Amino acid sequence: MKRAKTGLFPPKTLLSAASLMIFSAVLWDCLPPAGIRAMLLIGGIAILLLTSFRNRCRKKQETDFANDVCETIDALMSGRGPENYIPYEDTQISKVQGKLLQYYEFMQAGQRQSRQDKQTLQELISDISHQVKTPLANIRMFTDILGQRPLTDEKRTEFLAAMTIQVNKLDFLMQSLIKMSRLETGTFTLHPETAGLYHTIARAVNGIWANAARKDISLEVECDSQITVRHDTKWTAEALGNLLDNAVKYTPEGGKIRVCVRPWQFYTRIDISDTGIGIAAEHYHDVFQRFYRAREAASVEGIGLGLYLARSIISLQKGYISVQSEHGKGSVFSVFLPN
Amino acid sequence: MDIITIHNLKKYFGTGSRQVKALDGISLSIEKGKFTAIIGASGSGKTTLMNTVGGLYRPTEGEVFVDGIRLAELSEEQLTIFRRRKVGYIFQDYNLIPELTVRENILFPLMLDNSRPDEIFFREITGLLRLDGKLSQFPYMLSGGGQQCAAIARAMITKPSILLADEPTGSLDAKTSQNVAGLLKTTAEAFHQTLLMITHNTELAQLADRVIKLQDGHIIL
Amino acid sequence: MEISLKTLAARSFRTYKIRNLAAVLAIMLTAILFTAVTTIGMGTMESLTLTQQMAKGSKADGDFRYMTAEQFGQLENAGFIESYGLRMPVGFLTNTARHNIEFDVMDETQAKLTFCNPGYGTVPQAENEVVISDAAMLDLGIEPEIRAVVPAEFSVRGKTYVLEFVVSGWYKASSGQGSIMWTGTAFRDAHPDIFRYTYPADASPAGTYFSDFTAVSPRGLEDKMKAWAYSVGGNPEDVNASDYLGTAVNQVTNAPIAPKTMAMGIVIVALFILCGYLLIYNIFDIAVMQEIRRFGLYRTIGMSRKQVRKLMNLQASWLSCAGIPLGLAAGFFIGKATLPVVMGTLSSEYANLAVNVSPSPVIFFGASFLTALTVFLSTRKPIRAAAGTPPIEAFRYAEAASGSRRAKRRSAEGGLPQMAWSNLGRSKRRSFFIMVSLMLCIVLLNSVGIAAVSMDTEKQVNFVIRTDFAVVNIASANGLAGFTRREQGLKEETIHDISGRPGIKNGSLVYKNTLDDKNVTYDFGVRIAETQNRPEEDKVIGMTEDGFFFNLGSDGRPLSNVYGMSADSISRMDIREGETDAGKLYRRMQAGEGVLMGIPINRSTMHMIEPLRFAEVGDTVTVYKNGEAVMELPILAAAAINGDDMEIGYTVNGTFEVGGDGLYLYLPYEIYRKLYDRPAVYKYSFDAEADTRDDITEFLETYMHTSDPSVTYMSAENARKNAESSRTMVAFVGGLIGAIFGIAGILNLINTIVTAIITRRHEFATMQSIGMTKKQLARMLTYEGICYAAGACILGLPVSAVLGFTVVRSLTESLWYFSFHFTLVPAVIVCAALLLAGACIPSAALRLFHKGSIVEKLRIAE
Repeated sequence: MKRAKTGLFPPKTLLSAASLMIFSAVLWDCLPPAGIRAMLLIGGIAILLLTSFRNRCRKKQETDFANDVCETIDALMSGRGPENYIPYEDTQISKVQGKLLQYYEFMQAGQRQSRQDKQTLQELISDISHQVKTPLANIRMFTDILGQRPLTDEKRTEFLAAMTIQVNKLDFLMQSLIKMSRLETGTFTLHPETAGLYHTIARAVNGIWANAARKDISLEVECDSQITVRHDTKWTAEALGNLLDNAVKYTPEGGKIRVCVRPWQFYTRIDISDTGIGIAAEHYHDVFQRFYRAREAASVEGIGLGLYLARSIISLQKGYISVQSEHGKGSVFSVFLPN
Repeated sequence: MDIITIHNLKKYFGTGSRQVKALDGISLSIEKGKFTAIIGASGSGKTTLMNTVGGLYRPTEGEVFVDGIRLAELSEEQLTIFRRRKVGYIFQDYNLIPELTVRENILFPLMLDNSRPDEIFFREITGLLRLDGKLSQFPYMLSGGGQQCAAIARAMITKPSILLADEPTGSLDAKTSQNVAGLLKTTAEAFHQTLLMITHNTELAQLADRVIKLQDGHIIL
Repeated sequence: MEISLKTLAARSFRTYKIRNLAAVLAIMLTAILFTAVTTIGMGTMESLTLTQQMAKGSKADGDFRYMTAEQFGQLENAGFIESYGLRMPVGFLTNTARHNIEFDVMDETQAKLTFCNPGYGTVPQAENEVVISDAAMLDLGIEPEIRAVVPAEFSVRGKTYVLEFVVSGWYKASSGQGSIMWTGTAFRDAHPDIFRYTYPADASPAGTYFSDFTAVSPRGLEDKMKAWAYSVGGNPEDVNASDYLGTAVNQVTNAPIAPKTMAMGIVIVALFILCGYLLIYNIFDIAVMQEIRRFGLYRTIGMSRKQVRKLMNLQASWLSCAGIPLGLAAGFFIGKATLPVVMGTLSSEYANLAVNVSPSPVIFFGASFLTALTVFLSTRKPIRAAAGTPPIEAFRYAEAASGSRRAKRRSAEGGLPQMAWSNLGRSKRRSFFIMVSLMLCIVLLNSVGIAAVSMDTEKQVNFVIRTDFAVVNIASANGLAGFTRREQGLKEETIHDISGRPGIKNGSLVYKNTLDDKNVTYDFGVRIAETQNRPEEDKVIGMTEDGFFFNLGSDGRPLSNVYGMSADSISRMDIREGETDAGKLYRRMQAGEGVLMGIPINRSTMHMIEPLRFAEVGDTVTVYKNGEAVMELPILAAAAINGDDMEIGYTVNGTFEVGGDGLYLYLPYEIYRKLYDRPAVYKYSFDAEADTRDDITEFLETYMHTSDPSVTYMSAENARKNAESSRTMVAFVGGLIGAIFGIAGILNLINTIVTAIITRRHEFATMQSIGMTKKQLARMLTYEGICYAAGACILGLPVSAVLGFTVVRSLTESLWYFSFHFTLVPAVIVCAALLLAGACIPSAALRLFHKGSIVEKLRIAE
């Protein structure tokens, strides 16, 4: 930090001394010699007095400023506004106070965020416990049934299959829960590396390939194998997988899903387009919220966390997702990863 | 938490038969830290609304509160300081100062406030906006996108609470527009700034957390 | 790398090179005006002071006389004295012919102060070494050179001394009348008998100490001198006291500045400030307008008013730092070069002018300060406008002049001239401004024209000389000397030589009485209230109750100024009262019936000066010779007398020295010769045939340089030339100032038009894209230029007329050599020139600045 040095002879003192000398030189003719001596003496004393006076004023200003700042901080610490604050004044103290207020609000916002997070977590827990209740109840029911009455092999297989589904559901819930909590609390870190995007996309596609095939949905991937982006391959694959999963879920049979990668100036754009049911424009924003499920999707399995997770992952990598859709025709989810 | 609150804002220009009602009774609140897009046809009052929020216009009627402070209470000098510290402006045609280098342009608002630049923040911002390497060049040497990024950096360097962007991608081609809009969004988010962006591009508008549509000086839903 | 407002100011400064150049030139011009005029003014004052000092013989601030040795020694302790010289008068040399040589003991300081420092050779060291003037040596018949031997005869306290000196150094005499020969203190030590202090007994100056000195400060000098005199035991008040210590302040060195000069100075300064203001203001105003979008941006981003002001003040001070020194230097040299011209025109009133101007810090500080003040004043308004730029200007994409919010309804019908006129209406303030600055030029030049035309040369000539030629002693040509002694009379030989020339007609001798004719006096009824004895000047002055003085003759009666005239001379005079028939009057005077009285004329009104009318026609003048009344002369007529009648030209000192304030009497030769024993001819005046005038002029020139250097001549031709040259000077100086205003006005016009072209680029491009041809565009702009010029003319002509009849007329009426003559011709000529400029500038500017294709221009605007 560089501080301005106030040397022994600040420029103003030198200037006044110099002007005094020039002044007396100019008036040389009019001054009797004794007067000159007196003037120089008086001048010297005057300069000293003025300088010390100025120094004292300067020190006082500094002290006042520091006190004002401390006062402001005290006020903020005890939760009230600073008393002598005039907003947006062209003074240094106003600048500092403004910044302090900004910081205070920042802290407040953080506190609020924590409170909100706590609340969300509460809601989450209750949601999850709610969500978990049903599969658990089902499993209990099935175990009861299996334990109590003799069943035919056929029925038993049926029940076991049903239980497996519930267990899978529980598993899925737990996984999502863990992922979400980790994301929320930031206990996991992304490891971005410059890697081939093609590989990441391939991983994502692999995850849903089977499901797509089952619904006879064609999968197309257009990605230059040379494209590399700085990203966390595991988590990005996860995010893309979520998007693809949605695409598969909401596209009717015989539909088409296409993954297209285009490198831009600042971002690499990954478009995942489908011919699904589409999303209404007013819900563009909503689909990325937690536990949101569109009405049309009620029949389909899912919790409503996939897009939220995907967006969080991409956001953490300083990218973003946007969506373009036409209700009934299809949707395009665009993932932007920074270059 | 609302950072901007507007009550029944009216802004008229001129008098009598030649009066232009740019804003005719607007009430809205903008949440802190969110990205709000304002769209509408030309003449719908978007720029007037943004300029009133930035303190460039005084309302003919109605109130504008920014961070709890009523703008009408502030003197002209205070509004200038308001714009210097609290608001970052991004224009359609960049409005960089041609005789200064990119770095000097970015640090300009800090210089006005006699503040020392935060070098770490500076490097962060310029890194995000892909400006390292171009810092000692002059604006005319950069592309449109590059200049707009420099303008964004300038708007952000004082860590303002509000970013006002008036058609920031208006002079850019489609691809660069998307890039720049995305950067605006991510940087605003990264630094918890409230971003208010005017655009006529609906594709960009949906990057926002909220979209306000204006027509003939009114908000329509 | 930190940036600051200064960096921003510097970078944005560099982009507008042409505008910066224009501003620097404007500032330079203002500085030149101030410097040049101050240089000329101070130079003129300095030169005049020096000339007067040389004529008086001393440039000291004051001098002391008749001190004792101890008193002289006390000068060392006088606090108010800066440096002082030593002078011990001995006496006048008696072996001289015509040139008076005063012999003193001096030191170098004294010599320097009294202009007798040797220009050739060295100061005297040995007791027989002297420094002497060239005129003195020539009078003694010696060639002026070092080591020449000078014989000297003088008497002190009745004892005659005959000595021989060797010239150690000599100098050029400034006066033909007399000069000083001086030696060093070695002589004093070698001749103690000469320098015995005997003043209380015989009032002999020999043995006393004189001293010329320079003071530390000229303020309150007289009181300081008197106080000092008392403090050393001298009596400065009573001339006749034995301890009299003379104190005299040198009025020439410390002449106070006339309030009229001061007032004129202030008016000129104000005028120049106005001129500079108009020019510089316009440039900055336009600059701010051009960059209004930039200022809007600064204000939007958060620059406060104070910061914008600081930015612009920085730029203005850089421009001043460039412009002021350049202007000072240029102005000084211009002033120095024109000073001789100005002085030349003043030489008709003064002879032997010394022209000198030294670069004094006063000029430079003064001019810098005034220029800086002008720059400060003229930038206030533009800077305030820039600082107060509403930030919304940053959002305006089309260049619009301020005030465009109210879109003016401009009709495109009526054709180009109407469009041009309404374009001027866009910024009424600026248009008016330009017209005013052009108008000033018109008015000034017209006023100067009127002054020049009103200069009545014939009136001047008629005052100065009544005939074609007049030959006089050189003393008469020296305004500060004049004809006072018989020995200055014209020699017979000279008169004979001249009158023999072909072409001469009506030649007349004019006799005049001198200080050597103290035995002839006149009583014309005036009462002397008080007499004053001035032995050094060989005069006794009589004063009336009203404060008029008359030089008194040996019998205590006025000497008067008496002239012996021929019939021709009398017939040329302006006889107004009494016997107005000149011929008849002359005959009656010859018969001894009476005398012609002259009363000096007031040059402005051409009436006789009543207070100087000491007698009336019909009164009788009694003539006394050697104390006895010899004649009674009734006054037959009164004439209004001019310079030629009194002496010649503007010389009044001769008549003042001889007769004092009065009476002027004109007698025929016969009567004059009867009264005066050794009549002296002071002037030979004659007319000449037109074709012989040049010959005679040439002859006289040669004659006065070779045959008789004691005479000089004046001719009507010369007088006319001098009058003309005064007229030329008035025209020159006035024209210069008017031209400067003109240049300022034209520069303003060019600036406005060029800026309009640059700012309205978009508008022009639009017009061109919808079908206006380049020629039509040029024509419209030409109409605009003509409109500006026409506006100036319409304002300028009536204002010139009004100013001419009021201000200029009163100025000319206060000066006698003007006869007011109104004219509007200069105004008309200037108007024509301005209209031409207004027509030509736009098309030239268009060609230079409006380049490129239409599309390009439309693009740039966005």
